[in-house]
Amino acid sequence: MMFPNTNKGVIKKMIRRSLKANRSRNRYVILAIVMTTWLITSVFSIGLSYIKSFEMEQQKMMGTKADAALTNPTDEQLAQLKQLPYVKEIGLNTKAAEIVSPNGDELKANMHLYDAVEWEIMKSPLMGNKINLYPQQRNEIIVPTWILEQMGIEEPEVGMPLNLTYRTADSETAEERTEPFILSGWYTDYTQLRLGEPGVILVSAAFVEQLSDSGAERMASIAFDNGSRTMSNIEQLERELKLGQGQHVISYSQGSDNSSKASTYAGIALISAFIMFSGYLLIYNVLYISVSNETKFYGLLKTIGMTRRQVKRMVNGQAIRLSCIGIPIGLAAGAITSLVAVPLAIGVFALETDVEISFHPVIFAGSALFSWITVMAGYRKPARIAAKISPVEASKYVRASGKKSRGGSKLYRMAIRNIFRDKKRALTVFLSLFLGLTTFLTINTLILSMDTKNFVASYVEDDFSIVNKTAELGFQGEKKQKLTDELVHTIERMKGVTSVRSTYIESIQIDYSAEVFGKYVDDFVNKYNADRPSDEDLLRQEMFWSLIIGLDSRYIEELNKTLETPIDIEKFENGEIALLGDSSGALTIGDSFRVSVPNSASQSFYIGGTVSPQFMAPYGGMAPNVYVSQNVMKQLISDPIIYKMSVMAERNQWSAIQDKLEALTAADQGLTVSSKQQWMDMLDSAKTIFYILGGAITLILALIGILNFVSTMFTSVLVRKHELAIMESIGMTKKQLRKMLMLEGAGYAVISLSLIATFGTLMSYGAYYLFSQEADYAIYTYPTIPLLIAFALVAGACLAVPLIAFSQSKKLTVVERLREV
Amino acid sequence: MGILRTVDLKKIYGKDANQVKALDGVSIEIAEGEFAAIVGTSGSGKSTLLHMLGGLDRATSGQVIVDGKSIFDMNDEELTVFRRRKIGFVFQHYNLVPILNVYENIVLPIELDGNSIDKPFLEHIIKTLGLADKLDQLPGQLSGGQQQRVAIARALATKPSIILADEPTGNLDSRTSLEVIGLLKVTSKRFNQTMVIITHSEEIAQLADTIIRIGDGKVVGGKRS
Repeated sequence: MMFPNTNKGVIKKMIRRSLKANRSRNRYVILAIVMTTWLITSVFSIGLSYIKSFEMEQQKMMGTKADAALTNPTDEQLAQLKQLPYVKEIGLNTKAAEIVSPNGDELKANMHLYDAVEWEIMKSPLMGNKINLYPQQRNEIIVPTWILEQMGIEEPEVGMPLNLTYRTADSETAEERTEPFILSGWYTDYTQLRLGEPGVILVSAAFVEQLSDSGAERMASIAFDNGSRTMSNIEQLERELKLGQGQHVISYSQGSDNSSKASTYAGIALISAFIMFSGYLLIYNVLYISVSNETKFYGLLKTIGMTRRQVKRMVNGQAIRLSCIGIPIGLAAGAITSLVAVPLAIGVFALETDVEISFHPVIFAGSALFSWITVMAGYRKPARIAAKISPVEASKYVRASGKKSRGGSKLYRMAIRNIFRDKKRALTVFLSLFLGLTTFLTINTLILSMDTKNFVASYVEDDFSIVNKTAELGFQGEKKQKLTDELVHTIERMKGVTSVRSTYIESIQIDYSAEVFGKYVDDFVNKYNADRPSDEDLLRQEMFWSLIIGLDSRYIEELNKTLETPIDIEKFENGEIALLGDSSGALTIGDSFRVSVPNSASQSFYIGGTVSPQFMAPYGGMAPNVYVSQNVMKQLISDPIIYKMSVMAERNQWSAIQDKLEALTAADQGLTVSSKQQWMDMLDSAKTIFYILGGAITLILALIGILNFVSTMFTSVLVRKHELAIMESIGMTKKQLRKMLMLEGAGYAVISLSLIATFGTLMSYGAYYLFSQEADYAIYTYPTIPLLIAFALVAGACLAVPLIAFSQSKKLTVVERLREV
Repeated sequence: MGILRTVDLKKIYGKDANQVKALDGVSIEIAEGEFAAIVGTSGSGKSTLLHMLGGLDRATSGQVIVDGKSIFDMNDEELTVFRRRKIGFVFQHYNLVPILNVYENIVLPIELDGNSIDKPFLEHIIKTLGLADKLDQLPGQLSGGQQQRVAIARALATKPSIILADEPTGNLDSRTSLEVIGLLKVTSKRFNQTMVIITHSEEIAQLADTIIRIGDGKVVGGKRS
């Protein structure tokens, strides 16, 4: 007699056999695992890619990966920097020469030398296009594409000859030289999007050496070990390096980063938790039913002598194996989705930069882990239940349902009783359906409520606006007058244009007076959480500064329509009164204050009224912004700079006007055109993307809910095979049985859909309310159509599933079904 | 002192008006090596008594002492292990694990205990029970009688001190029934095992050394031979 080898893994054997015997249950569980993993992976991937892209984008606009920079570092300081433990990388950027433009026009560029660190680590990762290697030969250069375009070169080629005239940095000598150079590469300069800085042409070390100029300006780029502590690192650096005169440390960090990152992480966490919970419910339910159907089996095992721990190992062992199948599939599906979904999602937010898809292993390891946790959690209770089954169950004939029957053989009453027979099952099904569909409802509500017209109307005032970027706060270069009266006339004459208004801007100081501005400052520091400088400090000139804004008086006319006490336009025009930007109510109308323009005139005004502090200029200093008429502006400041031109036009000409305006300003990097139409288009495409992404995710969540229902319903019919056979044997026709089952399905549908229609709607409204606090342009829109479609799906499933389940089981005769124990 | 003893065993289900006294104070004693038959009508409590003896269920009150140990003092895990080493079960139906073949079913309790299999002994049992050519088959492919024989083989395989059988021949025709009982008697004598069978057949009861009659949850008679 041949006995098989003693295989010590009896539990392993039981695991394998159990899995083999329960194919359809396995399929459900694997499906649930796949969907959960897929969703989590997609969410992680989209979220992290978004963060990475956003960061990349910020860096590209800054132009460097460095956290800070030190101007004019001495060699000792450079050596010191290398020693500091919290400094990770140091790059050296040397400005070797300035380009002199042939016609003396706008071409502003400098020649820079980057050292290896500066090139490889700080700069080149952020430069788009063809950069190849850093210039090696003496006359090799790398030029930004926008400069090439200005020089008339649309199609650059490696090896192209270029003649450039330059002047070494020390402009005292002002010796100009013209030399032939060879183009060895070119790059897209993203910093041009932000500021009108001079372009950077990269030159070789050999070139710089022969310049024999000791006056080259240098800058050391610094990357810290911990990028999130930039401010404190800079402070420490300033202390330790003992900066000389004219030296300072520039910070490249954007403080806002951390808060938006935090909220993105929070969003990812919340959605993941949601997904995990839904997955958990589904797996728990499927397994609970599976175990409940196999009480005799587990009872028998207990009788034979399997301990609780062994039973748990057997059940959990199945979970592990199913996860090993389901999780990789889910991860793969998630990866594929990311390839498609991520560019879609990020494309909305990114400007002209590329999308960074994050395929970081953390995403996949993380999703696998969370999925694993979900599965194990879902298996926990059912495993425990199986383990606890008493051996005596093995010999019991029929499992007691535990519910007293309440008389009434009417079909619908039986149906209702059956739905609530197993209260916990019913609860899980309702909960999971509710979860899925309410999320669906909420996301749809939020997205549909994003009213583009409203948004544009509240945030964008002008149909078109042309902004002179050199006049903006934070602009590094020289302010230049770019919007001329000539331009105004040209635009006014365009077909469809109804009005053109110019707004002037300049920085000023205000003479501080505690009586007039005391309360204003108090309110200011309170709002921005700053230190309150003493009144003596404020009397010193530099502290109390702001902007003076020259307005077209038509703005005042419009403003007056909404004010109780209208502003005296005549006095505004002639400079008696000025308006201040303030919303705190701390300023008194009629008070007098004095404005001084640096190195120029000064003038006193009476406060004639207040406007919103963001009006026309969403920034300023500690003092309130001052609004005067254009005439006053021109009197006070010689040749004031026009900051913005606001153009209003007939709607049907918008497209034509957009083209014309863009053509007018194309040549000048310092001018940007933006229009209401652009905003609306951008928002609409954002909405579409949100809809697709949000819709897809919630659809899957809803599917999980429906799957839960399907599995519960299906199994409940199978479990009652015997019972239904008995009913048939005593005279219930198949038709009646089917009707009863359909009523059960309908009952599930009615109950869950009513819950969703009531509580679900309330919850989605709550979400909308919160959303609209931030986004005040939102208009509540109930997503009737998507919801009806979802409802139809659910109702369809509720009616179809019981019937399908029943038709599967009625293939045998009554007697056969009765005998099947 | 018998190997199996119960002291005023009571098992009560339900409350008040719906109370069912399955066992109402049963005290019995079975000696080592004895072949005992528990006889009674349906609902007399005999199955419940057997369950108690095997520690499959816990009593409302009273004691069950197996081989000197009071089994209700043990916790679940201890009881399960005790059971798999000391007691072999044969039920009326659904004895076998449907996902394991005949051989695997037989050795299951041994494997659960992590012990090595006594091959010669096993061979002997299998031959005796006529299962040698059926080792690869699944329970679903066997007849009722064949399934019972597998169950008996399993019950014997761990060499337990006690074998408890609840109507083992209830589903079998008369000839197979006698065969099965005969087998049980022979092997139990051979290995000096104590055998307790529940039956409602007087014929089978007469084959036993001791008869215990149960009615309405109480011992109502008996005979020692």
